[in-house]
Amino acid sequence: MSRRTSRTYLVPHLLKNFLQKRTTVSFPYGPLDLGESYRGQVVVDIDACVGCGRCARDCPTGSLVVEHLDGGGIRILHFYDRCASCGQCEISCTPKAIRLDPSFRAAAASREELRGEWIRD
Amino acid sequence: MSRITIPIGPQHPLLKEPLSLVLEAIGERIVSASMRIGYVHRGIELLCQRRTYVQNVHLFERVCGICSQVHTTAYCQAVEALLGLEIPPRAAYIRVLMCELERIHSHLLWLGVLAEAIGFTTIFMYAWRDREIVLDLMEELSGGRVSHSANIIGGVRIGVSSEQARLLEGQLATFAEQMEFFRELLDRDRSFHRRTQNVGYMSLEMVHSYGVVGPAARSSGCTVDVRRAAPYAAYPSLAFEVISASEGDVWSRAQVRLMEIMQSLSICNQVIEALPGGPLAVGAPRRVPPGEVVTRCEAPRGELIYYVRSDGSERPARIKVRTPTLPMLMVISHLLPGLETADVAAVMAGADLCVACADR
Amino acid sequence: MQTLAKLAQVLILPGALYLIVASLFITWLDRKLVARGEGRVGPPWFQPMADLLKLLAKEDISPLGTDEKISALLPMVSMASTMAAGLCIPVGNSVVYPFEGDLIVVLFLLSIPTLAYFLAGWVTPSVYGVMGGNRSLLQYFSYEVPLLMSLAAPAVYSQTWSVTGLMDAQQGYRWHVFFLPVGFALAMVGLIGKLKRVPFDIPHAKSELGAGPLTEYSGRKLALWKLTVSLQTLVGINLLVAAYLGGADRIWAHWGFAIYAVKVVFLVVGLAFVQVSYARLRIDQMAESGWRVLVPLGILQMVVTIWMGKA
Repeated sequence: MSRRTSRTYLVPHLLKNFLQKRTTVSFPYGPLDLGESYRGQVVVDIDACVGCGRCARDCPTGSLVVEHLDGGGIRILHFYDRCASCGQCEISCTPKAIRLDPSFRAAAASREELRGEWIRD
Repeated sequence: MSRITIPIGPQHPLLKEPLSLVLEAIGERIVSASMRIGYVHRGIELLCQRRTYVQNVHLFERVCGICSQVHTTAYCQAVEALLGLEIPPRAAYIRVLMCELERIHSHLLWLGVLAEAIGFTTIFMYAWRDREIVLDLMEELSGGRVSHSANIIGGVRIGVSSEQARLLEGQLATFAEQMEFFRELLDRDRSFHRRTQNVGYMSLEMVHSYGVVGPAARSSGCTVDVRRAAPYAAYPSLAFEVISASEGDVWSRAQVRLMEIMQSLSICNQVIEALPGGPLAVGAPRRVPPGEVVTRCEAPRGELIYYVRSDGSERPARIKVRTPTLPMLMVISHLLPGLETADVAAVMAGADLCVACADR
Repeated sequence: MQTLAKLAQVLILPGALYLIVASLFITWLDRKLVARGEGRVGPPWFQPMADLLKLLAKEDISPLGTDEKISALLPMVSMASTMAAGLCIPVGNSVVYPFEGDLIVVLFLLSIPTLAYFLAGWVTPSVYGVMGGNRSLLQYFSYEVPLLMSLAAPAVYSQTWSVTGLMDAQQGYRWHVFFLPVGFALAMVGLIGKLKRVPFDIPHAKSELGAGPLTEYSGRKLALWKLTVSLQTLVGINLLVAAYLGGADRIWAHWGFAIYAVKVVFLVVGLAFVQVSYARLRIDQMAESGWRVLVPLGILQMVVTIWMGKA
């Protein structure tokens, strides 16, 4: 098939690249802004929690544990190293006590630091 | 001339995902090719039997990174069919929106990979830079760039607010302008033509005998697109063309995929304009009545088939996934003999293999 | 005293030290320009030096079946012959060892690294090495003849076979590129083929052969190979600047280096532009274009040059 081939279609784009700002975001030397809807770490509002355990039941990776304490309290453990940030806990929670926060800087030196714990007596 | 064995082994700069291709060549001409897959097999079809239907939505999203949305769409459709549920129209439209955005991003990723494989790094960078527009849109809508968690059984989790709809329209218009560059690339760039035209020809007979699906089949003369042949979600009410070509070489596959990007843009715009109001999901019971169902969707690589059998409990009895890359892998070993060694890169990259999908 | 001065010239300026430092600079410039053309940020100025130092500190492993002595000798021979060629080519207004006929010697010395590259692939047990070596030899036959013809044309035109003589013959802005434009284009294409840059980076086509002949090199030997590639780029550009673009123009004694540097940067920009605009060719397409297009153009240029000399 013969089509008119030419190199000149590329040259304006090359020149534009030299003059424009890069699209590279130089994180961590520069700021990185993810939107509010980004699914990052799990955060529990322990006062709104009713202890139904649906979040732990529906979590695909088993990273949530709901414990009922003596005296009617609730303890929720979240293992962020097992979490896939899928948001199923947020979907399953009826009183909307658990949600995913947009924070993404979660690097830690040990597994224990990657644990979230919320207690209500 | 002597016969040498070239391993395009599990680790190779050409491959995105591990796959073992052993080529026998005399000089620079390939004589035979044999393939071995399974390096990314994770046993997903067994894992899903140990989890509930609700948990499996997220498991199937992670079968593949580039076609995650369509896997969950197919799975949710299958389970909704077993439950006898009808999802709200708003959910159907949003599913289509996410599927089409994913198709655009997958085709651009593929174009970049093909350009890198033939040594045209500039186009790789440009394609992936423009892909960022779509990925940022998906992140804005769903919270993740490649794993969206958009579908749940009974509908969708995410909504599209009016500001998001305005943002979508604006960004997609910018994106459409950028696509003009790639159209010119395919039409005009002579070095691209020399590496991709008349390379890796696949005839229509091969397509039929191996069951190749998707844009690769449609570039060899086939005209089957599941969105038209067996429409699902909101596709019955959307207007789009099924793109097909007949040259059958790598250039033609690039052409078909580029035109599909334009069609997907048009579908997205129709969805935004016609998005109905209403609830995002209906409640779904956790126990699925016994039965079996087969559902098909058009993944970016072709027809994706899900077979789900339930036994009345909370966990599926058997789920079988037939991904579109499998027939393509089978036909590649027959496309390669007779080609030069350098063309292997163009054909392998041009075949749009998603080995993670194929291995599951 | 004169021996000491000559030794300083050979080792420091414009000899070994200058060649190494300047080649690292133009490697950085090339990488930065290519990155900017592709829309990326590009490496900082110290990146080529950092890569070199890192490689020098790494462990040197060779797979079983490699001929250790030859594979250790090859990078050293390549680097030495490239730097020896650089000694005959003017840098700015100064040159270390010019003599009549040094153009032939320079071209010969610059072919040694290519043959060493092929041998480097031949002595490794890796299939990628052998195939890359074969391709590099075929590529050598395809571009070397046009390159030789394109460098012989100004020599015939100016009646001198010394590189410094070529530079002197272009005084007064009578650059060869104005009279022999086809020759200049051929010389650029030949240089791209010799340096194995896109569209002729076939022997080390990343997506087909890993790194070609250098796949199994590591540590200090790989550092020397990479330095050789940088040196070849610099020496090749020096040669083109002296033969076609007038070198330092011999106008101002103190600005000679600056004028030469501007021309070197101009050629680096040209090479980077070509790198960014083309896909890689296949080896048979390269051989075809070499013998069907480049060699006839070279012959045409030679015929025109001889005719211009007679007239």
